[in-house]
Amino acid sequence: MVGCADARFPAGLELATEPAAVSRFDTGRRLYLNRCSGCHALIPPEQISADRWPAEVARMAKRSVIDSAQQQAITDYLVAVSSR
Amino acid sequence: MRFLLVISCAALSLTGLAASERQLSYTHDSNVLAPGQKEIEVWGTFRSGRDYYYRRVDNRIELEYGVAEHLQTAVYLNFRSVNSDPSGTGTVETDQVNGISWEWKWKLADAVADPVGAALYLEGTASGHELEAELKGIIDKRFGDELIALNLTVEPEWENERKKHPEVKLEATLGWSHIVAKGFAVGLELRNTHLIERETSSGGDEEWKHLTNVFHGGPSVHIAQNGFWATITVMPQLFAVQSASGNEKKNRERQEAEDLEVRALIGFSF
Repeated sequence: MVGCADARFPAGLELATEPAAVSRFDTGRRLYLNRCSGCHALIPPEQISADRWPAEVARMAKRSVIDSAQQQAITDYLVAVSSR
Repeated sequence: MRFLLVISCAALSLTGLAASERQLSYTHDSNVLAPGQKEIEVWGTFRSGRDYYYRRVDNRIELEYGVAEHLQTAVYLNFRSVNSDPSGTGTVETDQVNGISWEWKWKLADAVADPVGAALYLEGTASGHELEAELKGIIDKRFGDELIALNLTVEPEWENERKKHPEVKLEATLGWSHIVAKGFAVGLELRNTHLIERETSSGGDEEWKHLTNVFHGGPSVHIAQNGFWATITVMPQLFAVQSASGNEKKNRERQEAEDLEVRALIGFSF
């Protein structure tokens, strides 16, 4: 689905060039799309400023079934997109 | 009903978590639960208004579970109660049917992140005298505070006394919901139900017989707070394209469908 995805949710390659960073962002993107949408409609990352995303994800993580590593991956992705 | 109320209140008191909200009662959206997430939904559907006295209440208790990313399953306990007087003699007959259902829902695309959200939905139901399958295609789109969803459903039903040919319900449901404020949305739903049946003609050929083709539509209201949501839709019958009841002049179907349907859903996760 990445190939025809909404431009508001870019894939890792659009955020970084280094393979490890690309992979991390893709993981964060996949988790955000698949885990967070289980409870609510997704918020396009740019709707919230980069400095507010960590607190927002931390607040929501308390209600969800994600672990701390997954929370960090989601936060990294949302901060990266919102910072563009 | 009292039993369902007690179950609802007990479960509500346990929950502090966000739920996967359904903003529309009849129209499904493409969302599925995240892996490991669980949710209980309590359904109630009231139907009334036929050529004779008819009151029907369908209650369902559903337990949903997120199996994997993109995939959820659910089991239902179904309770149906029908009070009717089809002979018009003033003697009201009561019919109660209980059953179970098993549902699988596979999300194919996200309604926000992809151009169009999509999901496939499969449900099987067994009760005292009938078996039903329900295959549903779901597409939807969220933009800003708006949700638009379309469901296309094929639902064959086999009754014990008529095993050879199932009655098939073809249903299209279109829903729109607008978030007015946080935790409050209003919407509209439109549903077309087309009932067909395979039958043997006098020449011995098998052909599809069109039984009824009915449109219902009406407003919906949705509220949500942390861990809890509720949605209600009131669906009067708008008109019938094909009627089995001889009411063509009034453009109403009042044998196989009702003048009014009301559905309420309550959901909470734990």
